Amino acid sequence: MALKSVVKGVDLVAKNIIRYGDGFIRTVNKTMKEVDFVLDKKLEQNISLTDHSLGDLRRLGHPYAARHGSQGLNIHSPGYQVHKQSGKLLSSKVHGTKNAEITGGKLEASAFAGLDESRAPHALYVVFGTSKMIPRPVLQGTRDEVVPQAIDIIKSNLKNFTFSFKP
Amino acid sequence: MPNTPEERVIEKIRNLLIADATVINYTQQRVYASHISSIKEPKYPAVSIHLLFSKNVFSNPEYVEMTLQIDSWFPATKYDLADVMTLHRKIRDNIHRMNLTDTTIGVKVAQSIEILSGPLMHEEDTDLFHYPTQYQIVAT
Repeated sequence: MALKSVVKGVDLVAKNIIRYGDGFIRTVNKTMKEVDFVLDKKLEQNISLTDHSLGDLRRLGHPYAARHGSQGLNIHSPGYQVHKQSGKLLSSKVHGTKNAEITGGKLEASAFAGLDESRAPHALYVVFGTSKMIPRPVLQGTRDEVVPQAIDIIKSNLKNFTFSFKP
Repeated sequence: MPNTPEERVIEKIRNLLIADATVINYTQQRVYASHISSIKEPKYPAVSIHLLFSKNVFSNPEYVEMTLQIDSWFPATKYDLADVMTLHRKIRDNIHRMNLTDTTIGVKVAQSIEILSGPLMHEEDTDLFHYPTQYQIVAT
């Protein structure tokens, strides 16, 4: 069962969306830059632990190694955080936004942060683990940590945004 | 006897895989319910199942959303990408929501999705191919 309704003035509606929608898209893009900032900062924090040096980790018996079980030694929380040693992983960090675009009636915009394995080839082994080291899903963990704050940013930026259409 | 939804799901996945002819052909039932790094003197090829994340969902304390990493490990000298992909497809076919639900061990699965597959990695020191995949499973 379906209801049909007739929209009058379709041309004017389309014209208003094009004329006034730009402001909405600008707001979306600005909002995603704020989300990008928060995501990037959190990822930097999560791959920059300095509480243990390589020597400390050796003395602890290599906490991410086989003998400590499948979750490793619980030396920090969350467990997916990574210690900074040479700084190569940190310098491989990338981040940015994808501007809003409308495709197939859907509006999409995004913010991203990641690690560039061309700059730090060992990034894959840190994140996915090896036969001797447990995985540390620092990218997914960081994203999950930031989601509540990202939703707050998006809500507060967009909730008071209204269109004023000219008839 | 596994107690938590996560343990029951991992056990169910392991049981499905060790009963699959293709998986047996490659691994001889070497499907470990923990990360390979915790296995003493593992033999390869092998599959390991590792819990990455787990949280309650649906405002229902009994429903848990878990992210599992399932790794395939192959000696690179004897196996190639085709073998890795064959095993991967079999694992993925088995981890279907309908297959995972098993009331005899108290597993009810609302959702099972593959969220990541690959990249194919090679460990130089052990000469192993490593192919990680991740599944998001909502179960009680």
